[in-house]
Amino acid sequence: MPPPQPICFAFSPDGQLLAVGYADGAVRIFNAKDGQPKRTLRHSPRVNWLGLIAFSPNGKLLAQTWDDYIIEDHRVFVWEVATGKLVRELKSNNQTMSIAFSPNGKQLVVAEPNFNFRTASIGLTLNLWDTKTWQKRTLNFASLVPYPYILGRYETTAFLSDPQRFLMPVSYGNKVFVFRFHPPAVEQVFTALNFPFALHPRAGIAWGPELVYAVQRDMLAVVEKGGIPQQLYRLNMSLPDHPLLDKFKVSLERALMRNLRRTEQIIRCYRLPDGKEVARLRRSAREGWIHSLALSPDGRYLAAGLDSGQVVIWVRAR
Amino acid sequence: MRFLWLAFLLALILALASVGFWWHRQATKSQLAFMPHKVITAHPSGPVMRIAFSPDGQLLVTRGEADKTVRVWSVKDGQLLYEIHPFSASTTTDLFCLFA
Repeated sequence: MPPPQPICFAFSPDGQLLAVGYADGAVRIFNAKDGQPKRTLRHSPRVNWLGLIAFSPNGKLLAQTWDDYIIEDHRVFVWEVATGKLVRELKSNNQTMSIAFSPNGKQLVVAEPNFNFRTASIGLTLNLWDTKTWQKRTLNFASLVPYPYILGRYETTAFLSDPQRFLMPVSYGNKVFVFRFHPPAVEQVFTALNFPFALHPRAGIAWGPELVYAVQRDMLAVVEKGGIPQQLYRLNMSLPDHPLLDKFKVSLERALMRNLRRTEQIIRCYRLPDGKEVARLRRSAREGWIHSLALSPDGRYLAAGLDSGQVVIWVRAR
Repeated sequence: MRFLWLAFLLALILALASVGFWWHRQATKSQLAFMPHKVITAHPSGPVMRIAFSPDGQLLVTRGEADKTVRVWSVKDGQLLYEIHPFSASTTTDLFCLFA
């Protein structure tokens, strides 16, 4: 039996425990100091588990979304960390996109897509569970995505300093939304790119539209894959179809392929909640394609994981 | 003396351009500066799919794609602290789940 793939991980809020969710459906808890195993939380063995985990702010509960994408079984389990007991089993209608506890620990937020087949659009449903009574409240945000793209899984989401404001990325990889719970509304949108993919310098073709981002309570960092090829692509797509323009469009495509290695990655840091851009880091795509990004909670370090297996860490100058 | 007006015009244009350039620099200047700190070769066999800092900012967790490991690093000096293997947690529970 091959070893299971680690899917997601989360630190407990006091930094003592590290929980790792594996593809066999188990959440294994380790001591964060030395990596010694402590406990395994598992409802039933599963081959196709794909989910997310989140600690409650006091570190007593751990919530796990339970998505079996073969038989379409979508549930949310809430565990007690100290004893490993199952506290609650909650029902989700679609594949869960993200999970988070509110900063005061009174609410559990689970995001899932909702599909409107009549308008062929995808919206977002935020399920809020009261952690005392487990009463469910549902907020519907209709048609955030104009056409039926696949919605992703977003491990890091954040509540802003105001617990009524919830930040999570939605849509086909390029947008980060700030939602307000009461009254339900979309407050802010951060767009990483204006078109739905970036061009990879070595793969050469359209690369998957992954959104690489990191978020803390007061800062959001988003990687924008931009530069000359993206601008040429945008210009090419904005031109209408006309026989007089055909030759020009072909030459634009050639220029795009010639300049593919000049793709640039720009890490933009936005201050929250006002959304002002406070820092910008440029990095050529030839130095390594950025797959992951992290901000340390004190805002001192910024780290990026590359496709070469390297991790680059920046420190904030004081 | 004939082209004095031209010199004035050039000076005016230069002054306006420099003021505009200064204004643009001020508007686009980043308030935070990030300096390179460390480069860690975390997962030599494939891309680093997800990274996260611990709440105190001292540890960095990385997950590779090809090797099925989670590795924990010290942020300050970039040293590997430990590696988490999937079956290291509790084999008895896994066996029970297999038989159940």
